[in-house]
Amino acid sequence: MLATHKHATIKYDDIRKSARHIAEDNLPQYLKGKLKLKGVDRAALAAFSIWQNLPERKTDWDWNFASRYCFRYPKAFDLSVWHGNSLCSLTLGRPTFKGTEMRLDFIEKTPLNCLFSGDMFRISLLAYETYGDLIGAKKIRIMEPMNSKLISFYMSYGGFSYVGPKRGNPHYLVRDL
Amino acid sequence: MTSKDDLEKAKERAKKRAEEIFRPAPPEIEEELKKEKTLGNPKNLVRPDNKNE
Repeated sequence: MLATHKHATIKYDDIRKSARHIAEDNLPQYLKGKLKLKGVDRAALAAFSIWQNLPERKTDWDWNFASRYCFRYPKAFDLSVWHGNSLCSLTLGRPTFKGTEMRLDFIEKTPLNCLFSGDMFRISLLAYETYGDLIGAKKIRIMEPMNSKLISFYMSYGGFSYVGPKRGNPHYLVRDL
Repeated sequence: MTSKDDLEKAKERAKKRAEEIFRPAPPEIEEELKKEKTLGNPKNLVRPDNKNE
């Protein structure tokens, strides 16, 4: 590993931890102390291995990719949300090439029942906005959302604007940080 | 490393944003937020960077 790559990995690892910590501290009262925010670490991948064999899971995506992804993109942000020993969700994304916008690329929630299922997207959004803020990004992007009701809602009440697909790039919602 | 000042600003901002993000949504939206198991497309993770943005 090049010294510069190693330096970036260490530097951004500190920022990732700070972003998770700040987001966890600012969860609303009904979530605070109940949920923990961590990276997509060994424990998360072990819990994911259980998801993989569940018939309820409809996604064909291997989260073991996350460690390679974070090595390839040292500024990427990985997030796992835990309720006790239960993994509630996994999220991955990275800043745009110039680092001016933070992308929230993909969230997967547990295929099992989760008491806080309706909060997972909001928790990821808070953590990604916080990380984006800490790395100096000016905007947050939610990449390729598909649910039209949620798109309309976040455009009407969440301050997001819609950017359509162009030149092979997917659509996204964007908001100033 | 992030400066102490940057961290303090991020904490303040997160506090304010949390109030907005976790404001209860209409029941129909809350239902969608519960129902959706994924958001986004994992293919975008492997798509090369657009170097103009």
